[in-house]
Amino acid sequence: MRKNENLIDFFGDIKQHLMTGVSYILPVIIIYAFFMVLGQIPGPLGEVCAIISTSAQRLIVPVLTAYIAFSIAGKLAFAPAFVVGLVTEQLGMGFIGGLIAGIILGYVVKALIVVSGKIKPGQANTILMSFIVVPIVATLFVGSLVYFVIAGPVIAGTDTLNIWLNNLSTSNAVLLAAILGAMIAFDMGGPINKVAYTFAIAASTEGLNHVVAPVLIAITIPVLALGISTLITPKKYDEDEHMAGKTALFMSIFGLTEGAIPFAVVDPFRVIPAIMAGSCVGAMLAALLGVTNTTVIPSIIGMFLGANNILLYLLCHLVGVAISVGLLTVLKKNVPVEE
Amino acid sequence: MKLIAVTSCPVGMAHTYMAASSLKKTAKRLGYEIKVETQGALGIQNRLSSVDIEEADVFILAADVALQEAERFDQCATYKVSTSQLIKKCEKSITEAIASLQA
Repeated sequence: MRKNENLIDFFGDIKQHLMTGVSYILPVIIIYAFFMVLGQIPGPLGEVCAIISTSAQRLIVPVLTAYIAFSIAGKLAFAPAFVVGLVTEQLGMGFIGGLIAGIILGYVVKALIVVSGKIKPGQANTILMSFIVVPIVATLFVGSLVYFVIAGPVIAGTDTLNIWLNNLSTSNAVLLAAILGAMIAFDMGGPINKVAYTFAIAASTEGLNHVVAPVLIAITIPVLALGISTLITPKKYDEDEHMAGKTALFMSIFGLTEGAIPFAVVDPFRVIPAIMAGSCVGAMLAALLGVTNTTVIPSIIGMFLGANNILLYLLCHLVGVAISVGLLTVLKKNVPVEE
Repeated sequence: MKLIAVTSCPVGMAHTYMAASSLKKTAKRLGYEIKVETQGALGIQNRLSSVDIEEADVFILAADVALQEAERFDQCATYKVSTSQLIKKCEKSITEAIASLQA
């Protein structure tokens, strides 16, 4: 099947490219977060862990840039994007800078491939492209573009945003947490959830730990609430859902909101509002109490690794879960008994 | 009718495997043969061989992120769908995939 090269095909699904980037930085962030905690250990082992942690931290943005470009234009775009991503990191352009660089680089390489394929297809072209044009032209072009044009506004913009997020009034912080929390629960690990989570990751790389914690708390509440709900009101769930409830409890250990999907598929109009309310309130409470988390890991694991106050952090979860379970108990009907 | 599929989601822990199991269950119920490759957090599992790809009638691609080793599927009649769609409406997706092939 030949695709026709119209504009829509060329730009394709940009969300998919961004999600590819996010998907590859998550393991890097986990390494960074784990070793940051282990780096507190006194002595040589702690020193090694601290070095590992800072190395992983510096890789977050380049890996993001590299895999966004990779998703857009394939293997050829990977190396230049990794290098340019490191440039944006060194310039202090943060998450946003790496993301923009990855998108531009990906499309530049893709355009080069399309154009060169039209001018002179064949092996000579492949060699020319992969040894000279893409490594030199694309890297130089996007590298200079980043340095001379994009860096200034991006740094100014992220600084402004950071200052605003750093000095959020309590009411604004609670509002932001409410929106992010509801987004997390709304599609349970789907695209809207990932937008909110990506925002938290970006905030975390800027050290805005008070913005991160409410999102992490919202992530775990739905699975935990549904798991507990199947246990305390078993009559409201059928055989399949009891199985799903056990899976949900297991998934809550790792903070995988997806565990809520089986329930939402069967009964979306009762389940989704109930878990959204729980996540939303849990997140708002976290913002109100000033709970922070230095990691981007949800659930009990993230709590032990990065929460500033474990008791309050736990309290936010419990309140959110209580609200969701309460709503589920009220909203859901008993399953008719089968003969 | 022989189907092949690849599932893949951003985190690679839940949607990837839920979509795969939903595909297998539904295909079995509808009486189709299916092999599903998962590209999750642990990389490529249950890899589709060149023979699988050669023999397949329809390729269902449920990749929310960039496909790994995409060049394997260059010649396939591809039906694209999201993993969440497969979890929610699997039968509809499979029917549409087969219909798109015959259209």
